[in-house]
Amino acid sequence: MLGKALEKLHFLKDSAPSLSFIQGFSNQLPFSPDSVDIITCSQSFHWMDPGSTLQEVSRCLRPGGIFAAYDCDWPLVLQPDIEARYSHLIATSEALLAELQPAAEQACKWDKEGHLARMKASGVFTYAREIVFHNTENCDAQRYVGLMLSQGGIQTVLKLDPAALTQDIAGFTADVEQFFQGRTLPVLISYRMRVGVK
Amino acid sequence: MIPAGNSKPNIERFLGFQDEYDRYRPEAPPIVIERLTRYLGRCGLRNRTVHLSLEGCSGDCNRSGA
Repeated sequence: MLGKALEKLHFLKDSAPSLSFIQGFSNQLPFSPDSVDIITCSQSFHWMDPGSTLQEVSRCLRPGGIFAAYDCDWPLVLQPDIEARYSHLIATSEALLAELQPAAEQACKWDKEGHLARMKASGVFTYAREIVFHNTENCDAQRYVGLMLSQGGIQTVLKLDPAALTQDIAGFTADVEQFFQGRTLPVLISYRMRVGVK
Repeated sequence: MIPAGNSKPNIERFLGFQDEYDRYRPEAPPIVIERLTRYLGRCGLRNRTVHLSLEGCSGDCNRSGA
């Protein structure tokens, strides 16, 4: 992801001179205390250790500064049978990973539904709440299938056992292509943003 | 050396498919910037905005709402 960000930054250099990307860890940020206005996590906070990350976020935010973790709901809203097939594919990939990987090599994620409670329990925010909203983006069959293929669990299975999901992916792709019929359509994307004010 | 609290498998889970991720994933909705900037209140943006992303990558945007 960092490589992609740097690639795009190259094209923005003149219009965004203050933008930079740094590799690091969420619980060891390279910023002075009380020096940051806003810290956000998009589709990522559930992969970070919440306790130490929130402590580090609090150290860096200035008083009144804001932390926001926002995530969209998967799958994107389309049609019940396709959404169910998507969810089945994700569940299948996670079950396969439990078989293919030793426990020590398995990724560990925290449930997004617990973000707000953990933020409140951290004691580092004077106020915390959830904000929900939606957005629409254009989508065609290739993108809808690509969204499924961009999930970390699917990608890990493809690395470990490339043939394991072949039939499931082919069936899902056929359903999606049948639905879109070559069209590009606006798709509803639901978001939940958990916000904490220092 | 990975600092305590971080997971190597979590980092590795997102390696190797940055093109697919970038091409297909939703973009950050503009309302996120609008709402958070308003939530900062009258003090507004004075310092920097940071986005913590996957693969241990964080962006740092000095004195900007981008």
